[in-house]
Amino acid sequence: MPDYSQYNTNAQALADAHVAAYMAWYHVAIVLYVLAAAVFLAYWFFRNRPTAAGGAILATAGLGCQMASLGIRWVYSGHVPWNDLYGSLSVVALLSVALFLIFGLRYKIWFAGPIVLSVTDALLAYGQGWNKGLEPLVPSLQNNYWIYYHVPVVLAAYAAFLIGFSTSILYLLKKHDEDRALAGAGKSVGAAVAAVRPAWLDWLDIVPASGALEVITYRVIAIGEILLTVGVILGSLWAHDAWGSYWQNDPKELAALTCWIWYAAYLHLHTRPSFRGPRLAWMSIAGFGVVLFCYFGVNIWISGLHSYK
Amino acid sequence: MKSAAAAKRTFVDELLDVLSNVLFPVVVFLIWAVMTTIGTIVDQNQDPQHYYDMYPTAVANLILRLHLDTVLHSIPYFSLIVLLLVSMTVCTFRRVIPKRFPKDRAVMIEAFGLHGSATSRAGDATGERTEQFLRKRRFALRTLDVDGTRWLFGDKDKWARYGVLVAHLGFAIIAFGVFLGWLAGFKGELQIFDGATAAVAQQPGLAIHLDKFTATFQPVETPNGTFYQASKFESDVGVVEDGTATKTDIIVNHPFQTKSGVYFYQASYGFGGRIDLTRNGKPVSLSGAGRLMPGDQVFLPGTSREIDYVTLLGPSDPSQVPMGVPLPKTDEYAMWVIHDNVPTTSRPLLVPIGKTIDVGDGYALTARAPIAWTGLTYRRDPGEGFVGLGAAVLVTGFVMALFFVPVKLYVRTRRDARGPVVDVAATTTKGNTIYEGEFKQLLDGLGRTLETGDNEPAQDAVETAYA
Ligand code: HEM
Repeated sequence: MPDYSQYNTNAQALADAHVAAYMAWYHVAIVLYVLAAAVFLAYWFFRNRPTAAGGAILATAGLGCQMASLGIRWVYSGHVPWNDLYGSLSVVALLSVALFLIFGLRYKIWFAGPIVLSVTDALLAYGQGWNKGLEPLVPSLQNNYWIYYHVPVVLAAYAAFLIGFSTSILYLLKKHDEDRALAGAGKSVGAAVAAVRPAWLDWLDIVPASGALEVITYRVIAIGEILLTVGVILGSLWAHDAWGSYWQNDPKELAALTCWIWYAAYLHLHTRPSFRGPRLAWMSIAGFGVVLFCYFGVNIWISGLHSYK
Repeated sequence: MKSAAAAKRTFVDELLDVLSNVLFPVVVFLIWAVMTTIGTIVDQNQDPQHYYDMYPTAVANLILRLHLDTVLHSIPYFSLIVLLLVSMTVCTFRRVIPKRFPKDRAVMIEAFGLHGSATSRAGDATGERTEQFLRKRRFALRTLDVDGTRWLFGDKDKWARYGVLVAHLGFAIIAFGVFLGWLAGFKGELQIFDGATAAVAQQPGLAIHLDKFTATFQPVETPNGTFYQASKFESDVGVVEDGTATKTDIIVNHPFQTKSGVYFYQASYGFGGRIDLTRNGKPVSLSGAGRLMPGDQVFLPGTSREIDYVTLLGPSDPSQVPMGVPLPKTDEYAMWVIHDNVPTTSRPLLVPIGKTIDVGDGYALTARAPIAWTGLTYRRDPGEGFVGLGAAVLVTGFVMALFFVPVKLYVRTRRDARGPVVDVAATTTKGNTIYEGEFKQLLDGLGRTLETGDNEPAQDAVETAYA
């Protein structure tokens, strides 16, 4: 067990060489993600493969740095690095970028890079404020193996919902664009001119048709819902060991249940063709709001058994 | 009479239609989400005063008058789950089974969103080549002759069509398990001092004896000073169930389960303060168990004095030492001596173990070693196993329903002036767009397979179909 009694102030805790080491990698990751977001933004305008590849390479490099940062924190603290809000935010960011890269390779969603990476960067920049250095684990986090699975699985679900949020925003833009083109087709010259899209939106050409984008969103949300279900189940197994019952109506459990219910409603709406479309996209966007409430709202404002900051 | 019966049937039909419409659970889901969010934000089942302390009066009134303080245990909340179960059952028979498992029958191919044709130069080998081609792409095939036309029906990942049913069943099993636990389970908390035995009220014949409680602490430095965080609680106990005793350790995250399925968990701990009291040198017996808990008062008979016990400070329980205050080297008790409702000192008195102090009117108090207690939660939940099973079934159903895209093909071979033509239509459980690209590749591949004459070897189009 490491000796935590060496620090007298938080400033000193953060100035510690071990903390400085993991923070350095964290900062490099932030910079690489900013660059990746910029390159993916350039991809909207250059629309060629080398630019997308450049963004993907930078994002992968950022991912490597983040892994190094988490790894160093793990080694020096002697326990998993996702025991507080700083660590878990870092894991959400890491998993979001990883999932984005996987979906990028599978479904070529590189056009979502600017949104995914900006949100990820914002999470990382915000997470720094919650860094408390190296601290021991509270008893409920000790002597158990659930912490290795429950937290990352739930955070992976959040990451999937983040991607779904990004593709839903793009869906709405693309749908609007398609509707405008449709409105202009076969109409008078005046109507056709009015329906011409502004040049700065030409990047929408690299975004697939709205129908295909909806499929991608459905796929990623389906993965998120499965991960959330498994994550909540792992959490209740842990709760069973730690608190004596698989369900305690703790604010975090309830908020996670709300997310689950929300996305269950989304999946049911999706089963009927007549309910697909912008309505569903808004539901995915609002769903990410529910996720943010569950993640930040409950950790920061509502105290309960799960308020790890 | 007849029309009344017809009207009645229509009403029942309409009701069943509403219950089996997928919009129904969506609306129920949204109400459930809103009520759960209220339950997340508003502390549940607290004293009314708690809400007045926490919120402005108007908000507290709103919470209490709308019963938002008990929303999670309210009949409307419970009814939502019942509604979901009812609608799920109705929907299974009226909608899911008939729609998810389409029958093999002749259809209007052109009416399908995904349809297309491939002209064949393979003559009589067309049917066989088509079948071979589809089998290679993992379609399970069946053939049927309808009015002289040969139909081929293909299914890919048909088993995944059961995913919805499995997921729905999983949810129902969970709901049953929760209900059973609520109906037949029990829980409670025991506070047991070192050397003492406590019985579980709800289960005669079950008792637990605390041999020894140990707590370990670790100092944590913060900007505001050091605090001590518990790093381990451990209760060495003997559990007696129906006359049989078992020795065990209970620590956080490692509960103990008895043969009859009662779990004991480490939940809390503390130390009881112990003092001896004398008046004019003669011992005075104290009422109660002889242990003091924070907030306890001891009235000194024959005087208007009392002792208000605050807490134990020191190495046995450093977590009680306020932040920034140095940890005493030996255990000591913090307490107030109150005279006529006024504290006799400006700060609490600190009495080290073994020391005697004068508390006025001839009374003297001697601090004795503290005694540890453990807080154990116990629980028996006969529904737990069902909840676990339901969870496993639910996840299986989710993976089946959400990950895989079952496809059904309707294939008809007809002849036109140029020779045989194979018409293909496809449906999936998730709409057409999700299969559009693959369907196009499938048709292209089939076209290439049928391009060569019946005596030439067929082109193997496997790699292009999924390129
Ligand atoms: C509360 C727990 C429930 C769970 C976990 C659940 C789960 C699921 C899942 C995983 C699917 C597949 C979705 C897809 O393929 O994208 C589905 C579909 C469906 N569910 Fe539920 N469901 C629940 C409640 C209900 C209720 C109460 C109804 C009542 C009407 C219902 C009606 C349906 C229907 C109609 C479908 C579509 C079936 C089809 O496409 O053939 N579900 N459900």
